[in-house]
Amino acid sequence: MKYFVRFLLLVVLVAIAFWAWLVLFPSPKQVIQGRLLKLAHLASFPSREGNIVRIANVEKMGNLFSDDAEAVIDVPGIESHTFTRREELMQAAIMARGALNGLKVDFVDTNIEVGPDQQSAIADLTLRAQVSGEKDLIVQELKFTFKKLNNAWLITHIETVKTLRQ
Amino acid sequence: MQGEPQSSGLLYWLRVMVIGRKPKRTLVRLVMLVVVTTVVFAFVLRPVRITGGSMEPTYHDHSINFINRLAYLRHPPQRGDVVGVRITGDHVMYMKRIVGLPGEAVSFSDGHVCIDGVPQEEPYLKFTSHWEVPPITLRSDEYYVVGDNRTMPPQDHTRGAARLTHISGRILFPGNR
Repeated sequence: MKYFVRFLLLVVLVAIAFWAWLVLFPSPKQVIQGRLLKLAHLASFPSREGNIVRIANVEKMGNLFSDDAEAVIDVPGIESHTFTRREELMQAAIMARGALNGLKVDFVDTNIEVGPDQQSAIADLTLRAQVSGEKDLIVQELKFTFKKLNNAWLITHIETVKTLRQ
Repeated sequence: MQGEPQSSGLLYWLRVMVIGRKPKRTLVRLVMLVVVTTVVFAFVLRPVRITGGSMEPTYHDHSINFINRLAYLRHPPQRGDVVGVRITGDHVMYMKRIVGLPGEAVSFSDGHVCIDGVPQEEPYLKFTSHWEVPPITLRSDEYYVVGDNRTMPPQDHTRGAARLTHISGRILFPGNR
């Protein structure tokens, strides 16, 4: 019985050490997944968002992008846009938040591929967004390019992907 | 049972009702039920909740259905099938009708689908529309999918060529005819 308790204790300790290792030294995939979760959280906003909160959240969102981040948006029914700097992206985000009456964003079915150099990664995912008061969901395939810059994984490129060839 | 207090008899029948006369057999049945249900709903019949009006009036917003993932094991998708089209995974899919098969040129004229220039009969179309879309030729592994509701402008409607690998399966229950 004594040995069994010792063995059990050892198993628990190993499990805790493994968990601590994962938390302290997450893999690039886990870090990128966390960044995407944060982005979805910051991109969502309630119907009555205050100006200070709006600017603070957009500022936080900007920290997830590199200075020269580029976004190519080409969605049916919407005029295509290309944003070539982080400031442009943040400006567009502030304008969108002012124009919409609340938005809930989440990313599903995320597939992350880290490059062999462990310095870049591509995340292919499905954006699911619901504008408050709108009946239809917005569903769009997106491709994110991440680069490890100054020891942080930053978004350098976003583009919309046409799942169905037109 | 004679001579036992009434409460213990009640408890016995309660136990029989809940776990049966043979608890071991009930446990085996329960485990089998859980395994079969998990396998069926994870790998064969994928439950889906329809969101949006692109398949109206055949399938309504917020209705529940299933995607039969084994539907195309023995034969390829057929024209008229309503299918689930994967985007980047199985959690969110497009639900559309196949109107064009590999190798065909698909276009729209006055709201009706034309295959190699010939207008097709589409009994599922209930709303009139006036779509004019130039032809697109499908590759050997592509199927043209579109919703039944063509009342919006064509550029606002998600449609196009889907690769066979993106087709998750056929919808199980037919919609309104």
